[in-house]
Amino acid sequence: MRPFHNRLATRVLLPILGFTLVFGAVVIAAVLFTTSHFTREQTENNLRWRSDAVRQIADDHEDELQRAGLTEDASARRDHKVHALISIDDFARSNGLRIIVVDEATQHAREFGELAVSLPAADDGGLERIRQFEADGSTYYAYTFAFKPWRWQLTLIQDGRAYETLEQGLLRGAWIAGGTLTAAAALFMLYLSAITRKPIAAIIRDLRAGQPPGYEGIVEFEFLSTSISEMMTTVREKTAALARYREHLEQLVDERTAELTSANEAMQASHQELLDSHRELAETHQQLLHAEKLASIGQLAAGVAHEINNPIAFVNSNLSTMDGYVKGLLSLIDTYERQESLLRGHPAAIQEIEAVKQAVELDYVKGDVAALLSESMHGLERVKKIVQALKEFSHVGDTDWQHADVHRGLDSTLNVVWNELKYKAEVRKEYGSLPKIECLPSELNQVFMNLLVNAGHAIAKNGVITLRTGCEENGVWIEIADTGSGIDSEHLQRIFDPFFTTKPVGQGTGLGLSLSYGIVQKHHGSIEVASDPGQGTTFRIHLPIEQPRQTEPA
Amino acid sequence: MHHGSFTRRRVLGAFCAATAAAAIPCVAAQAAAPPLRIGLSLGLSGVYATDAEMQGKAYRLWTDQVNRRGGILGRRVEMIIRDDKSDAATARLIYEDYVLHDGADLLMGPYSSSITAAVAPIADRHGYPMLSPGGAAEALWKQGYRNLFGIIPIAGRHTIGFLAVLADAGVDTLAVVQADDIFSVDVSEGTQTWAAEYGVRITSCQKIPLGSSDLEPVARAAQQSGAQALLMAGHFAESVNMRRALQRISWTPAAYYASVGPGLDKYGSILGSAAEGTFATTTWEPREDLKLPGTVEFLREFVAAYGEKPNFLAAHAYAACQVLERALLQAGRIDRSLLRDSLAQLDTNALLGRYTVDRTGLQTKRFPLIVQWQHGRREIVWPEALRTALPIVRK
Repeated sequence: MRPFHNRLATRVLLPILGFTLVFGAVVIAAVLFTTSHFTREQTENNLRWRSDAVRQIADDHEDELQRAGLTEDASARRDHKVHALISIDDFARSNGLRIIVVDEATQHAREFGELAVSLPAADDGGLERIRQFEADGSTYYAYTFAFKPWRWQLTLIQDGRAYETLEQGLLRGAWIAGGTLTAAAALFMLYLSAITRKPIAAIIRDLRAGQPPGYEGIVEFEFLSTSISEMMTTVREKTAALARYREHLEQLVDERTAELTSANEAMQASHQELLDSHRELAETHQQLLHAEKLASIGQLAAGVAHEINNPIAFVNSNLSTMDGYVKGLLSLIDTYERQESLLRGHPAAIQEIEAVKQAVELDYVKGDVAALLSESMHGLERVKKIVQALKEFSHVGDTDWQHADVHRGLDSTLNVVWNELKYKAEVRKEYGSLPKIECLPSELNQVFMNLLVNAGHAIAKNGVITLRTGCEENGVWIEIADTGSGIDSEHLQRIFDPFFTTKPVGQGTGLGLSLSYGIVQKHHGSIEVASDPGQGTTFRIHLPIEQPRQTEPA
Repeated sequence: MHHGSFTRRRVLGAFCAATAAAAIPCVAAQAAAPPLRIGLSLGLSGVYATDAEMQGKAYRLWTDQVNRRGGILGRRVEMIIRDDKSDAATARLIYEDYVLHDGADLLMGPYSSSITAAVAPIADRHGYPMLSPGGAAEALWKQGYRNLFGIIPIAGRHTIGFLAVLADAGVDTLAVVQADDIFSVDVSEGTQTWAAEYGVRITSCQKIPLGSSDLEPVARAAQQSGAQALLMAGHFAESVNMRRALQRISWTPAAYYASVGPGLDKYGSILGSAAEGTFATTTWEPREDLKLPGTVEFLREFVAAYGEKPNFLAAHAYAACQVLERALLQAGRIDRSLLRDSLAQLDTNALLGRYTVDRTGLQTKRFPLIVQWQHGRREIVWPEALRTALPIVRK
């Protein structure tokens, strides 16, 4: 159900009805105003006119006296006055007036007419002007004039009733006219609405059915129907053409989209390549920096080892010599002690010797000096091993590819980082039999050192680090496993990313595994990791025995 | 010639035949049309019997005359006069019967102002325009009736001429006695209103019941009020009774005026010489020298019909019929609404003089006559223009 105000009849009717009502109200108001104004004006005019008529009555009688030469005849004058008063009485009655005639000489007042009203006490009796006053809810008008020949003062009082009928009639007429006009407008519009509803309904019915309207009848609506029908045909043709254009356009758009997608993918690929290149460049740069640093450290370590090597050599030589000397001295001392009995006669000498013995704790020294020398020799041996390890770790000057023993590299690296591991982990070696592989030993050692240091960091205490090696097809594998804290699965994919670290600030740079990854790739190998959080981590490195030979450019 | 003569005869014969043929349907139509029934009541018995009798004769006279003329608008006139016994209630019943039971096509007013006042509302309510040949009290036209039209000068002015006579004679005191009907009251009040204009002082004003026979007390009181003249406002009986009361108390006022009664010949025949000097108001006098239109014809035909002279009351009735006839002819057809408008607008001269009414239907243009019994007859003593004798006032 459509809203009432959306109906055609309502839209047509209401404005007209509204206009009619407003117009009617304005007309009625205008009629009221005009009638009121007219009434007042006419009443005043009538009162003046009637006053003139009354004056004329008296004048006529006075003229009659004059013409008859009876102006001095008291009887005739009296009779004429009476007749004038009778006429005034008739006039007052006929005209619905109140007429008050006052004889100025005697102040005798006569009142005529049926209008039951008197002048208000406040009336000033002003001559020749209209006064208006209210009495008993009605409005009255008074006019006073003097008839000097008879010294009469005549006051006419009139009400507005003469025009009340007119006023009421006009108002009634305005209402009737307004009502008739409104009713006529309503009927006319209802009729108009009725005759327009059928063709419009027919057109709407066809339109709702989706077909061109085919109304025939009233010329204007038929023209409208035909126009809509033609317009619908045109629209359908245009719509079909648009549909065709749209399909073509969609095809063109698909093609262009495919081209753009392809271009975009190519661009993304290029972009990815650029990113990869950039990353590789950054990694290479870091590796170069690190290699340079390692080279410097290696040179320094090799230098230090070389310088330490000579003192160690002569200390070792001296200690070996001193061991022979001590053994001789101890043999001498033993000889002297066995000969002390010879000094029994020399108590002072014996006493002095005993004092010296006690002072130097000769017995203890004899027992401990051999041990000291042995430990010193042993320590010196360890120093020699460390120096040797440093030399081997650094491989100063070994910047070319060479065939090296992986186990030796592992061991030397283990020696270098031993100090990091010895208090928290036990190192177990489960070496297999490996051939020498073509490699850069110092860089591989760096890989081993990174993995071993990380294993040490992962173990809080009393852990186990297991080094395993083995052969595989065309290669070897090296496995470094720990029983540390392990790596969270969410971090496992990112551990080879540069600068990724879970270590506290200052303890790790995030470059160790990234560099190790690069070094292994450089050796055309691979590195795998398996970790179980809380159980430990295992890194396995696969390396070819021989590096692939690059084809020389033609 | 012969041929021409023959032709003329034939033409004349044909004309006569056509005229006769045209006349026959008229006569037939008048005969066939229902009579125009005019209903009224009169106090043919009761207190107004004397007054009303003459009016009934006048109505019948006019009816005969108008029917001899072919009726009005082709309809014969039938005047229905019923006796209201001088009683207002009876009159009301009669007039209700006329209007409610289709007893009359038109109405004519009854006699006396009181009875007219009783039936006027009925006529007005049912839209019957009604002339008032028997009512002159001004109060009748203060009720707002649209259908009541006066014939007689209003009662309030009946004594103006008498006051003028008094003033001219130098009589300046007057006692008033009034009956308690509206006509008499109007006469009394009018006298008091206009007396001042003539320098006449009202020494007393007494009211008596209508039809009172013993008026000695009021006559004595009037005399004792110091009045030189006496005015009796009433009807025939009061005028005679007061005259007799004056005789009994031996008071002969300078002038004695009575309304209605002295206007009738019966006043003189009853009182004889005692009627002498009495003043009264009439509107018409049965004198051929009266300068009012149709007076002679009416007088002669009335005498011929009834063997006696008509009085002013008969003239009232006859004048009313004249006015009614002219108003119907002016209206053009028998239609009460049209008749009402016609009566309101009509301005014509009838037996009593000019007929024209104001917007209330009140007769204003007609003036009354003051008559005085002198030498066994009534003489017109006022107005001067119609005077047949000088007024006699004893001082």
